[in-house]
Amino acid sequence: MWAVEVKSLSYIHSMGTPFAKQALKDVSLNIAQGQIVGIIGPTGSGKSTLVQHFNGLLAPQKGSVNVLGRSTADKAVRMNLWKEVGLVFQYPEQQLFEETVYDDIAFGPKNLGLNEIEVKKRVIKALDDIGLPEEILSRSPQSLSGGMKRRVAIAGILAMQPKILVLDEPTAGLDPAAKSRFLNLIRKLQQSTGITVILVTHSIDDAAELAHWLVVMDRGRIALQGKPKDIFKQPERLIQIGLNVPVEIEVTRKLFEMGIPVRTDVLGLNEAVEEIARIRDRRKKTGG
Amino acid sequence: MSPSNADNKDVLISFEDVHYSYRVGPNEQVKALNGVNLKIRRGQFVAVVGGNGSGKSTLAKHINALLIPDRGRVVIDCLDTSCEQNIWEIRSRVGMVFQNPDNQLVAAVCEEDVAFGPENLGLNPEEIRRRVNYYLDLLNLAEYKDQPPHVLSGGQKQRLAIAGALAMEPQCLVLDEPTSMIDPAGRAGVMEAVIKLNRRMNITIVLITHLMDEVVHADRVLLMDKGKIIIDEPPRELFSRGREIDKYGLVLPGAARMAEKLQLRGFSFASLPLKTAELVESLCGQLK
Amino acid sequence: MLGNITLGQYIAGESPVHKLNPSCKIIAVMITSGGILLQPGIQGLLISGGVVLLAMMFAGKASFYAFRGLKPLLFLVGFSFLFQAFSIPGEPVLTLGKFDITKQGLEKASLMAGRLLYIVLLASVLTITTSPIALTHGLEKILQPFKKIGIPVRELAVMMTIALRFIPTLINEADTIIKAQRSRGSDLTSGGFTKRMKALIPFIVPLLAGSLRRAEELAMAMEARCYRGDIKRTTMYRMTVGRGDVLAVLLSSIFAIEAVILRLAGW
Repeated sequence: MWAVEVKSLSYIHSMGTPFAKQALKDVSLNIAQGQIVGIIGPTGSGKSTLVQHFNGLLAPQKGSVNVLGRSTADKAVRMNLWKEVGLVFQYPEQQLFEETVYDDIAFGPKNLGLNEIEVKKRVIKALDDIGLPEEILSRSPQSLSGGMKRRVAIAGILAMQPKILVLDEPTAGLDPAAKSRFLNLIRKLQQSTGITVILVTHSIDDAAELAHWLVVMDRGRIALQGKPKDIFKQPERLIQIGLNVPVEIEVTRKLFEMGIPVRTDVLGLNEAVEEIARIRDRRKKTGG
Repeated sequence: MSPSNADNKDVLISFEDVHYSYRVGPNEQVKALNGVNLKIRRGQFVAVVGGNGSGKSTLAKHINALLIPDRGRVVIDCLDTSCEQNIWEIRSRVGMVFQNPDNQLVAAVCEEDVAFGPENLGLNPEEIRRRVNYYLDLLNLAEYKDQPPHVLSGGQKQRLAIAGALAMEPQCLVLDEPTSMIDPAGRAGVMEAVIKLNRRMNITIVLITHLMDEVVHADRVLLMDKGKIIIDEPPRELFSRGREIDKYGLVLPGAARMAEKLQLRGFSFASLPLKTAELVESLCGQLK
Repeated sequence: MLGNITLGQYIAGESPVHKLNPSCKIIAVMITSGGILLQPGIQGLLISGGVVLLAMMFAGKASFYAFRGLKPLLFLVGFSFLFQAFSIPGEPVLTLGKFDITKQGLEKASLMAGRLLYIVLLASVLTITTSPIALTHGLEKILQPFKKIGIPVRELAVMMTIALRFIPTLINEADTIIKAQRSRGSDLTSGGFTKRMKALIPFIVPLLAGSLRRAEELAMAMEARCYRGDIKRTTMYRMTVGRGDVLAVLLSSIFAIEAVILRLAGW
């Protein structure tokens, strides 16, 4: 069973008004369970609209969306999907509203109808998963730093123990250190719980670092999808869409353009460095 | 090159032992600047880096007299910011661009937003109109002049904010993390504009950023930590410090990171490449 | 969810009506509306209809969206039509049980309904062909005389502009917050009154906090751009009054004066 199965999905915002705008056009994709999938695209490419179909916030206008084997065309399915698909919006710290960190994290679990003991267990587990100390539970979320607030907000979703976790631009605005800490945390969390993680981002670097599978969106359509390695075989396409490419791809590509027979489908700095060293060694041999 | 008194006129921004604390409670203060000394010459491009909470934004707000030092002196273009009657003059000479594009645009139509500053300066309609057209054009936004700002992309909004600041024809532009909320294509457009303003129009730039690939364009980098400037040197020197920069939460720009790994495999670089083009050029030489 | 709310139904265009000076346009609409109210009798209603139609023709295709604006009004107009048709005494045309529909009643009711619909159509043509911002400027100009008695007309205009600027942004933000809290199982649709009021907190608190944060940042950005109230402030617009503007005001005045004369003549 797929975690998410999308078939020929189209969606128009503000349908039937002069402001109608096509957000998704004939999108099909499958997301396997227990994977980290990156959905990448520039602003306005439809990625946020797409993932809002995954937890029932949006109903498919055309085409179909099945989540964990159930069709979201069914209103009853959509209404209950939040329990299994945790969706973390951009700048989730802006949605904190309770007086204490504990209450905010407990909000979701309480809505699930869990008893107090279970709620408490889950709050503590979520806090631990996201790497925050228990001391902050009694503090006001507003007294925390920006990065901590964001983690509290994500803990609020984790505490519902969803089967699928969708993160929309989770590293926006974080400094480089906080960003790499955060990405590591997500990787560990995924490995220890086996949850399906869907990472929505315009940063191909973040996605490439974590994801097993990438989906690249461009103006409401899927432009590319595949393993990161295969996606990076088409740097021109990525640049044309308005995405950045990892530095090693940019470098090997430019070298290739200058007549150096280097492979351009390298993945990661180490592989690129090895490839460039290989070319050098071969030249030395033939030269000497 | 020792600074002589003769080029005092050349100094646009000067901080002398500046201290500043935010009042967070009735008896509680948080020190944000802790003895900052700084001189920036006309036409320089200065990047300011450092973790969240290191005092970068507070520094920026002092340049525009939005904050006045508790102790010490900030002098902008020979005007002391602590002197009440200088404030408006200083603000017309220092343009500011903030992080969140949505929270700094004031008008419901793009061209009116650009007009806002000049209107506040009391210029006549013809001059305002001239500036509005000129700066919209300079930032490649002429086609949006009649559009409401909310239809623009993040990158376009930031360019609009830059146009609005420039329309006061300031000598200096202070940008506080202008690209942290926008996508890579938008970032490229904003950085292109900033570099053009500095190189072609000789506008002094103070750029606060988390992105090392933006820092490499600066003449000089200030690294802030706990309210102090702890390193002040050209980017190449900063990034040549190697692992030392890790502890300040900095990372190397992509090209430098790759060059480091190449060095381990026996490649050598006369100076650390910071931009992809530099790296490629040097590699070409070594591979031929 | 909230995406369907469309405020200030301005539709950009190049029609002669789009190009009118907003102050003159507002004045013309006000005079014409006065005229519509004063035009006596059914033939007055016909003349008014002609004038409204003329305005819509000059406003181009976009003005046909004005008919959409009528929809929410139809119920009200229909109700008042029936009420008047039945309640005004006179020569009966149709009897339903105890109630008569009278000739006079029908006439009055048609007049009333017709005038109301015309005025709404005209107002819609105004908002469709004039951007909210131009409307603000137009009103600011018209209200200029009140500056003398201490009403901060310019500041009010800036405030209105900012409101217009931020409405779409706040709608987006509210939309996100609603979706985010629904994703955590917030439910506004069940439970008694107090439960529902309590359920609003997760939406209201972040929305307020967000608005305050925005206001604070915006104030700082405005100060950074030398805003200090009305001191020394000028405007980019030098609003010119062209031939079209004079014509618009003149025509609407003739229409209104004609109505007044007919009234005075005892129609």
